[in-house]
Amino acid sequence: MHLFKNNITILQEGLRNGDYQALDYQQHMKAVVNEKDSDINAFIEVFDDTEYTESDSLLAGIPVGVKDNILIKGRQATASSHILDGYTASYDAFVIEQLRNHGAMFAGRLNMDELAMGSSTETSYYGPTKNPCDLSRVPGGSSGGPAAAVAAHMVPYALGSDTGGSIRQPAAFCGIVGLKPTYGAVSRRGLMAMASSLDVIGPLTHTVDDARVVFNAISGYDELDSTCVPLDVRKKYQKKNVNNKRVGVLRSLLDSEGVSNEVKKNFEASCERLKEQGYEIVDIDIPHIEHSLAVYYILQPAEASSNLARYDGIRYGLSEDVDTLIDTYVTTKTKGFGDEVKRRIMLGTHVLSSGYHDQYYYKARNLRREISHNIHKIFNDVDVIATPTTPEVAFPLEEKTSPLAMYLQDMFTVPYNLSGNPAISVPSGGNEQGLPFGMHFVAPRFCEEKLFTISRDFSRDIL
Amino acid sequence: MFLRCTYILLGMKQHEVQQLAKLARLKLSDEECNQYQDDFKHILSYIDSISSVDISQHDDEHVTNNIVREDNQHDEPRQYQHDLLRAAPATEDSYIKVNKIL
Repeated sequence: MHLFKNNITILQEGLRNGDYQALDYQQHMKAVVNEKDSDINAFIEVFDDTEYTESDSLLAGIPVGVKDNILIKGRQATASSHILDGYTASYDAFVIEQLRNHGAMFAGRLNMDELAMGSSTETSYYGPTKNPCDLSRVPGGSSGGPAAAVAAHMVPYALGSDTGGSIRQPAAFCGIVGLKPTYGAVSRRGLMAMASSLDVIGPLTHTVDDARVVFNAISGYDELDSTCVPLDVRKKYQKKNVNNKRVGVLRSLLDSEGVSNEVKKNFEASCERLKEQGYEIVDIDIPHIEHSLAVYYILQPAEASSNLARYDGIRYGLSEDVDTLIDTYVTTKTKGFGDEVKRRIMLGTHVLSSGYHDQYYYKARNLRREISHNIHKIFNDVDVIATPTTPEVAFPLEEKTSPLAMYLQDMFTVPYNLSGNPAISVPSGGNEQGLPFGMHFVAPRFCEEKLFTISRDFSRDIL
Repeated sequence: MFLRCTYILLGMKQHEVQQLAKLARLKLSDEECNQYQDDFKHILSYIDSISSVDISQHDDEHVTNNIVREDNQHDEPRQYQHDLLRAAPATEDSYIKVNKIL
């Protein structure tokens, strides 16, 4: 019995008409985890919580899984890294406060790439998470645990974070819906910062409507996050919420090396499906968008190298017992961080160092502004941008042996972290081996409603 | 395009990688140093593709502002102290203990 194949509305009806109690959902969650998670490894810790705030919300009494970089007060949080061993969160993240008020039941902590660095959940200190569609393959990353937990029906929805594609790419690989909201729409208070100008928290769900429900619950204004945008300012951007059914396709990106033929074929079929729903498909060009990945892999390591300086064995987490202060830093970090984290910290240190920061960091920052400007401008011509979510379907564990091969997984998702636009991945069928494809839509800033509308239309004859 | 950028192999010397590690407060074995040196060769070649891009300066639509609040928050004394200190590996009274600096 897969209770969590049902969407949130149906699950809530089950509670309201007395067919189920919240305790039943919690026990069902544990039963599915017991049955499947020794193979999948989505959960780091399952909670025994049975209490929740009474609420009229659709989310009341319903279990939610939380990525391990989002703080729940009194619960451990490690971002799947050894360096935060034993750390217990001293406060709730804003999104957790919001969900608490909505009566959500927190199911547990979900596995991720260490400190959110990766596209496969293979760098986790707790071992890799497997893709429920094929256990020999990755679920994507860094929100691999959230995606796998939802895809395997352990929880009806989960919270993840997306800095370069980390919600959308795992959603695509696991055949579910993943939303990256507009930067500034969801407070980052209580999200362990990786790259402060790029990180966004968002939902992973089975249906578009569920994504909408969760997004509406978590996207309030938080005055304690100075990058969270006030609601009246968001309204000004929402004038572009009108849907003229014009979809822009980035042809040049689609023709890049590394995009598999089956992905291209599936994308074309998806465009046909949209045409049948009355959408007009036009080719668009966004100057310099092809440099997004290079810009990202300069800015993100730079910001991360600064943000991760706080993990030094002094205020929380792992701390090595050594002689001097500098030894504390070096020994703790060397022992506590994995390879990919070290690689990105050093890369960030390099692009920010004197002699190099003009060539790399400042140039990248300027190019980011240029790309963002060009993306925002294209929405004068089209309603949404469409691409595949990923260049290929879920790949086998340990296949990507070079960092660069892994970085290229983000090619379609990354530009919109640079520009701040909201973007969603929706399931788009599967290949002969049953491996899912993802369709990726991008909308103007604060126009998540546009994404929900087109995604609903797109999913009409698939789901 | 993504993979068809000119592949100028920009290398870092071993001692440069070790210097980076030092700045980042990391200690690398020789083997690790070699591996990272190889990784950086490829990554830097890739990200260096932006050097050929000629861009004009734009007026930002989305200008960044500093957001500040009034300095009038009155928390209770030691309201968060217990929760925050609890996370620290070593404490003494209401202090976080650290090793000697010199």
